[in-house]
Amino acid sequence: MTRDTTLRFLHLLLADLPQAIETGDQLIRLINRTYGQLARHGDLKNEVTPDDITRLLSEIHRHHARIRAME
Amino acid sequence: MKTIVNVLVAAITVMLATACALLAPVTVDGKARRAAAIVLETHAALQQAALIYGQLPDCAEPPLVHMCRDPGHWIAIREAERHATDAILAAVPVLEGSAPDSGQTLRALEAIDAFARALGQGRMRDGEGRP
Repeated sequence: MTRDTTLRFLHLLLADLPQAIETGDQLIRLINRTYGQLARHGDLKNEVTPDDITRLLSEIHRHHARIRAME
Repeated sequence: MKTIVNVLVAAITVMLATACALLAPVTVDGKARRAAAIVLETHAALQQAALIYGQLPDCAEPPLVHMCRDPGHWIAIREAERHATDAILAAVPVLEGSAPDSGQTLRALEAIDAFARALGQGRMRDGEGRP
């Protein structure tokens, strides 16, 4: 998927967002994050450091705990 | 929600394909770290989708809201997430390039893929109830 294709997806995504939802802020963060991942890894130019891995693992642990805590 | 998950699944497919390609020559530290980052970021993004789904109101009959959470599907998502997180943690030394691979990375990728499919099944169910 090219960057242009991704942008078209995002435009569609924004057009399709419901007018009022409780999780609107989260959806926007997810969109930003999804695009950020493509930007970072799509061209495979950025250096990945051990600290990046540690940060990601910490993030996964945090998300995992939140999902476990939800009914 | 359908388009959101579509975008997410498309992005994750690209990342998983890239990760598979990069995992072959994990003898170079930089490549191993990059593969690890892609796998971990993929999983973290899926976790965010699961968190969003988990915060939706429960589905009612007749439907009261546009998007809702199916209890059975939510259990399946949580199980898939737990399995994928466990598989990733087991694969971390390999992804970091500090241990030989005896199938951990493949199991992690498969578990992440199963997690993505669990989320995608919710998308299909959402679509069935919509006009």
